[in-house]
Amino acid sequence: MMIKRSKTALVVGFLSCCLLGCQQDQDAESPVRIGMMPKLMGISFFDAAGRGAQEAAEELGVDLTYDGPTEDNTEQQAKMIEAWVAQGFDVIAVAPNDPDAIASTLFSAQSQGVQVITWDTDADVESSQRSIFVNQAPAEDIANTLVDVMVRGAGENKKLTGQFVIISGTKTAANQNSWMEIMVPRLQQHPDCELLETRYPTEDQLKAREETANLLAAYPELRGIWAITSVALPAAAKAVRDAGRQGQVFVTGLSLPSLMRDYVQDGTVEEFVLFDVEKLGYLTVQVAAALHRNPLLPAESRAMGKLDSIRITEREVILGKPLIFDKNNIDQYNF
Amino acid sequence: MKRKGFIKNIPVLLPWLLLLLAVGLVFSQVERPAALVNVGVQWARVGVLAIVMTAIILSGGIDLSVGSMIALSSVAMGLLWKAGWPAEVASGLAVLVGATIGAINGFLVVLGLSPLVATLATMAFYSGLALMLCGGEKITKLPDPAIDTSQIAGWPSEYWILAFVFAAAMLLVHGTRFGRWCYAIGDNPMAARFAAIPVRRTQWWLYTASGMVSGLLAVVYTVRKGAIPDAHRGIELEAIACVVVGGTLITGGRGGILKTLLGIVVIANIDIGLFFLSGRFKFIGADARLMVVGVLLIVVAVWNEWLARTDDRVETLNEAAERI
Repeated sequence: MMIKRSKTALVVGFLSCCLLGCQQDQDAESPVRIGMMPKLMGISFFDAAGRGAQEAAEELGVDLTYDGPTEDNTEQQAKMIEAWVAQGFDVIAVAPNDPDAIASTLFSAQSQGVQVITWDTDADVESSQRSIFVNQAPAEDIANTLVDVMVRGAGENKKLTGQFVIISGTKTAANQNSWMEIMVPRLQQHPDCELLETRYPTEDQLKAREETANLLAAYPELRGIWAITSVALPAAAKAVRDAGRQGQVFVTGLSLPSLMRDYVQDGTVEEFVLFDVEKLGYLTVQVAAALHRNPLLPAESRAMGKLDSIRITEREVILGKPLIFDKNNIDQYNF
Repeated sequence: MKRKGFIKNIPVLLPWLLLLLAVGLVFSQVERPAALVNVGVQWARVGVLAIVMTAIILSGGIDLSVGSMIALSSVAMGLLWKAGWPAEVASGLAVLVGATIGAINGFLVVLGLSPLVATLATMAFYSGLALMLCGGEKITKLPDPAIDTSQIAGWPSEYWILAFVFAAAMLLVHGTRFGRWCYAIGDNPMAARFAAIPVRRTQWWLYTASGMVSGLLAVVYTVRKGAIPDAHRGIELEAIACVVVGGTLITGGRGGILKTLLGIVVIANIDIGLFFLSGRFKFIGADARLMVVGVLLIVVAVWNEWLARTDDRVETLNEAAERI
């Protein structure tokens, strides 16, 4: 009796497995499978990029999976990419939390016949062998705009004077680091500008707020804060508002209009910088689908789906110039 | 009586059925089977820890610090390697660091601290120390090693370590006096002491071995990806989950290495299979995967508990019968 029943169970189990297998075989003529991975899920920035990506996927009729780790963890990203490779994805687009630690995973994915591209932030080009980086805007443009906005808001006679801090995100994030690499030398043109510290609260809103509050308490003369991740800027703005230091401390950086609307309207933040995140997600899927068919040829300006004047270089696709948001234009954007 | 036999066999069959389903799930979704080797590496790592953890749990202990020990060994190796030491020497020292900090765990337990408290404390301490040593930063861009120890004969080294540790543990736990001591200590430490079993020495060796394999895993990982202090956060819980799902009693004295191997394969396949499905069905996210493991743990724990109780009841009945 016992043996019989367990045998039945075994057979049922096995059949159900086979059924699952059959379902798979039926869609042999399946569309291109694209896996797109943000640094982490569940923050507005990457939600907006995901919406853009979905739009492009529907236009092109590709099978898009937009998924990523729940915290900015490079090992989780590696695990998910490895699983995508086994699952037979054709193109994988990833925004790595660490350009070096992810490289071996990306390299092995490439060698198994997957096209690997990066978006939002790059991986180490040489060791990862990724084919293309979908860049929101050249790093110089973003860095220069960040400094320019600060000079406009907190400078005297176009010179920055006083104490400043930078609040970044994950210590290894390539995009933030590349902006700072350009920002910091540019500050030397402002001899009276003192860059006190750079803090790395990871992509964590609470930590970013705490760090800002600590900095505000430690430096009563603080003149300006650059908060250069989408999570850090609203957190910094909140800390400045809570401390009642609006007007004394000029806050700017990068974030999403939807997260910043309150602070822009009440004057805590006058201007901040970003690019069109939805379009970045859209462009990434466009590039991924195009790459699956043919290699992308360099072009000064070419149309990709609904976007025109996209610059394509040897190993980069560039969305465009950064945008500056203020009271007057913030309501035009819904991400 | 017959019915009872059937019910008693379900816990034995349950994992195998789960295994079959999970493996079926994975293979139904795979299009590049060769890539599964890479997907399995992280589970091979968990498996190595789970096997040593089984021996520790059998002896009534637990080691929560394995993830932190990997972090500390890895950072130690990364620092030495970056400072210009040859990779081979740095690797050897990393294993030594692992063994040493494992021995410290063992020492604390021998001193009479509860293993839970002792390793909870060192989990925090080692991971803090690792973060301090590397300044919170990952150590990457390491020079190329003369011998690439992350792969042996085309397979990631984790699999070889798993095979070796499994064979060694089978032999030690199920074939030697040392193994019987582990069971005896876990079953009743007081009785074990009265039976002249070297309780302290056995415990010390178990925790040292745990540190040593952590160091070994750290070496392989560091060669491949660099020293990342937070890469293995939470791995101790995955390892413990494998032990428990396999059917080893968390309080010690009952279980085995083979059971844990089964637990690893079940959990690994369920996790990978559900991840594969998550692309098609949006409701299967990371949260749902955690929930499945959680439910699995509860089911197995309840079964184990129930099984242990019925066994006890049968024993007392037999004793009663004998007395009459």
